[in-house]
Amino acid sequence: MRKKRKIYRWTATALFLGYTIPLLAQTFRPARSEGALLHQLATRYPAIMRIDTIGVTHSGIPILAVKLSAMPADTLPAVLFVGGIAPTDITSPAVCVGLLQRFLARWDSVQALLQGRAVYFIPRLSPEPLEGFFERPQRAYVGNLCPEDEDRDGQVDEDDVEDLDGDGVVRWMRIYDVPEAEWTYHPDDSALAQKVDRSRGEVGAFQFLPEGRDNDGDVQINEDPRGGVNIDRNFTRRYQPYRAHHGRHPFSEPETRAIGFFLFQHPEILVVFGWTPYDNIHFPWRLRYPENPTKPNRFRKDSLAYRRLVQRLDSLCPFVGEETVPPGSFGEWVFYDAGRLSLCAPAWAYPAVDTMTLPGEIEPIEIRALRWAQQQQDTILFRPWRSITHPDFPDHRVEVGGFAPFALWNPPLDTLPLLPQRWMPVVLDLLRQLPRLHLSAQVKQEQAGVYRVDLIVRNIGELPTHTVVGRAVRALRPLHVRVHLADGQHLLNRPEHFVLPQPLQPGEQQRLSLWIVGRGTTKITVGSPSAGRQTVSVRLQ
Amino acid sequence: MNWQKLWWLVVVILVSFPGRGSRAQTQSVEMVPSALKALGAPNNPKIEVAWNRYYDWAGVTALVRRFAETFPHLCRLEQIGTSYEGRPLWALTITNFQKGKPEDKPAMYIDASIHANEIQAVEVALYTAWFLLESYGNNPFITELLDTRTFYIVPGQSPDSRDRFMHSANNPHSPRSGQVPRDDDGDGLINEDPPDDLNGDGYITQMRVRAPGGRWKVDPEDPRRMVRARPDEEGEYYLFWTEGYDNDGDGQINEDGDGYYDPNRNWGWMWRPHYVQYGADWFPFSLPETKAVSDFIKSHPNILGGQSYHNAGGMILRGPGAKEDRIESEDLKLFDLMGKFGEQILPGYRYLVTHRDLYTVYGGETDWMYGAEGILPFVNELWTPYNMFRKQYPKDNWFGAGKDQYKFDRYLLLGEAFVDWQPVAHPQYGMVEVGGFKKTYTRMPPSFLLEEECHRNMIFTLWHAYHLPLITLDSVQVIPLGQQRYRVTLIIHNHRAFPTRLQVDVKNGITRPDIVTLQGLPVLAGGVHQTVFSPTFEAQQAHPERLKVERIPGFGAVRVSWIIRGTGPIQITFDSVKGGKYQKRVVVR
Repeated sequence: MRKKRKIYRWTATALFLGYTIPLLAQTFRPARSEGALLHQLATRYPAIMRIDTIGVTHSGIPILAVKLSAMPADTLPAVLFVGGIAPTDITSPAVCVGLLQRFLARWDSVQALLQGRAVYFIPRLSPEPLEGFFERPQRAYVGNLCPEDEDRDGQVDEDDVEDLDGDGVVRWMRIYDVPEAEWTYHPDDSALAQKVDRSRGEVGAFQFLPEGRDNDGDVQINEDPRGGVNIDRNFTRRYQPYRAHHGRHPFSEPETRAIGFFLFQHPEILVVFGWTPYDNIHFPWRLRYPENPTKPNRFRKDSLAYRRLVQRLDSLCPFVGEETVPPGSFGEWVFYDAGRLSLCAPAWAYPAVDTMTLPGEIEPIEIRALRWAQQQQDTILFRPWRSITHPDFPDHRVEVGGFAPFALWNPPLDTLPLLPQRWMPVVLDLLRQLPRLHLSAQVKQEQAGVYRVDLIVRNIGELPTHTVVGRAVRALRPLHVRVHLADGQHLLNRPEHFVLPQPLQPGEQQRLSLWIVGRGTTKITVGSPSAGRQTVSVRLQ
Repeated sequence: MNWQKLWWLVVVILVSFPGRGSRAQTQSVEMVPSALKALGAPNNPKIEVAWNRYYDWAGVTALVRRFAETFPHLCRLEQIGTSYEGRPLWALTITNFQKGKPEDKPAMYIDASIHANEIQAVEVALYTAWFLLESYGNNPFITELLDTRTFYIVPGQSPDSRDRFMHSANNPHSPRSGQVPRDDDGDGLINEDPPDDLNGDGYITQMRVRAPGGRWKVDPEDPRRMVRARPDEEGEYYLFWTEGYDNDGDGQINEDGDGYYDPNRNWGWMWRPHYVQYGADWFPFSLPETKAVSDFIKSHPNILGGQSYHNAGGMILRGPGAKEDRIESEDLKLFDLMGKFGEQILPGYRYLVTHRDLYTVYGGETDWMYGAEGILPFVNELWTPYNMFRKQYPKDNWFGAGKDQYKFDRYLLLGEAFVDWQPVAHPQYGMVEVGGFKKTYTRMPPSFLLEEECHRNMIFTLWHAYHLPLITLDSVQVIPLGQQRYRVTLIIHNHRAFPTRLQVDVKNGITRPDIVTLQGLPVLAGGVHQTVFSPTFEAQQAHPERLKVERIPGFGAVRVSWIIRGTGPIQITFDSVKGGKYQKRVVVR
């Protein structure tokens, strides 16, 4: 009987999904092709997947948010995954799509998990710079395509990069014997460069610049390239003004505004995972306010919840990122100014292969990438330096070569299909940890017709019902209690609806006594967008 | 379509357009001509406006449309955005369009009433526009201003709540926000428990309840006034600051009305979240009104002077709003120049520093103007209690002594500002009494002081605009060097106190440097002299025909030279983002 029911359920699910989970190749895709694919999936699976355009970039690329849930129309506790934040991260959008495919392909096994919960994906928050990967020549962008006059000469984007050696990729240049030379050979490998310290009297061997020429005749090379604002510097927390690629002010860009509105309009999202170069899972943050350590930490409970979270994820998160968080970052904004539990790690990173490093010390990414390229004999990823004749430096030795624009941050294509399955445990674990409410009520008749209902509200999930910081920025809502009285009943000791301002931590419970006069069935509903909603009925007789 | 339907369509269209002539208050009344010009005001103006009363947004819209229609050579009107409830946000561009493009002149930006309840700010901005337009050609000072400067005037930043203030029950302090819906108490409901006009008089006043334990009593000197009981005596009343009841049954009164957010904490400079800066809202420029106005300012980089009108307290405020922020030392001298001047022409007003003398403001509009856009702005807190009895109060007493408020009402307003206490049945408290000052009192000037407030504050901004850079290209010298080569020297002279770029701008590269271009003949070399007397210049490495000059100091001059080849006409252009664009033609012989 049990087996029969299982077969029936499997069949129903297969019918529901139309039998066909498209076998989509894991690959890097431009934004429009990825958008078309996501729309196609959303059309095919309207009962479990929803797609929304949450913003449009300067060049008109839609920024998409995908929601996956057994009940996509409902507001349910949710986790959000955000990719495509850094201007060179083409991997996380592909991971998002891969995860989505895995959810759809294994719907039967994840359906129960997504019955009272939802997962959101924003595969690429800043799509414009990632288009450089698909352009010919392939090139990197510093940020989105917001026109910026980097050199303050009154002209915009007038000195862009070029592919001088015609290899189809804009790489790097070494210009030798120029007075402004401030780079020299890296001591570990002369294929790499490192900056000299002129204050110590060190002398540079060459100037190290992106491949290109002086298009506007101002004796500077590529000083005002096409684009833009790096979205991961355009958020409010520790924003630094006046810096190139940080934006004219925080939230100056359509991408930052899109995620800002999205998060504040979705109070059900309690956890946000951003794929970023920096990593707060393997390098946990100290979350506190005020920053003065002598004062009590207002966000102590959030800090504890975050610590528990990263302890669990430490072994689950497959890749290690950087410890340093830039100013105006997405990750810090998510916690301090948008009030959610913020998790950050790279979607992929080179394995640390050099055994020369000290224990616990992470190799610089350039070294790791170069070792990888050398092992794989990959000359696209890293092209050895070769001399060219540079039109602006006909009398100087100029070499072109080095890493391809996206090489440091993205895996070879054949590694890509393996990534979604490595990230799936993280997604599932976070969904499982979301808060859940359990209500129980005991009734005691105190006097004739006067009842005391002892309601116990318990958080049986593994995360708090909301964060303290989330309430402090008015992004998340506290638990709200509503007592539905029967005709003729009166509630004596409380109003008929009220909020419980403090979040319930995992395993924590709150006891509420409700004194009610009159017989009948009283229904009590407790809930919030980020904790879900539960109802209990008590019969007073 | 039958005639009946057509008739209804016409009615619907007429009702839907709140434009010109839709309100009686904005229609001009036949005026008896003036026989003798009163000094300081346009005589027999083309547009008669009563400056002793207040206009709602339809009235403001009608006025700004008439300004643009009546003075098309001096005034353009544009809609720069739409408020949350769909009202147009207006900007006026006022300059002599026949003498240069507006964007090629240094500009003075004026806006008003970012806090909607700070009502008279709008009238001051409108008065400024009206005065400039009516005075052009009649007053040489104004004529020169409009020939050489541009005024951008945004007459109101919060039209939704202005109309709420005027047409719904409110108190002097509400609504400060706009009408973007926000859930103040986190119960998932929006604006579900606002104050209520219990006695239906159109005002939100106070409530008092006579009950045991009350710590308030009636003032023996003026029975309308409630005062706290002394520590050694019993009180009689409980006093509630705002009229209302518990609309949503959560046991609290008036805890979720419109707003809570503060549009003047929502700007992208030192923005801090709500737990640091109350009312910051979601993120910088999350509100449609602040977004529209900031976009307008950003798209007019020629703005160098700024003015934002608020109320109350009689203050001329400069930044910074937070002590962590700073004003550059050279810019501070300009603030002081204008601020101290303002104290002279605005009796009772004090020149103050926001964070030091008022309170800390993160994410404020004028701090953004200065820090992010390189504009020198002031906030004027209109209506000084000094105007009641020509008596100065301590600087933190923004509304004057309570007793004096009652006296001013009794003697000069003949009691019109007060709603007498009257009993009302309250659904939760039983019988209460409702009464207190009307919304139009304590922050707004009464009719007979409004025009003076408009004029004096406008004058402050006119002198601010006067001190914006005024450049002449002087002393062009052409010196032959032989072999068809000439040295062309030019002095760029600024005749006003403001430099073409503030120090904060130069230091941080907010705008590009000023650019002096020589066109018409090949330029072999060029550069900027260290001083106007230096015979030599440092040659610019590239593009000598397009010299970069850091800025022209206030009341200062900069000398530039080029070495050119050949003879014939040349054109020299000085192009400063904030200092204006000027040209000179010379023939090299």
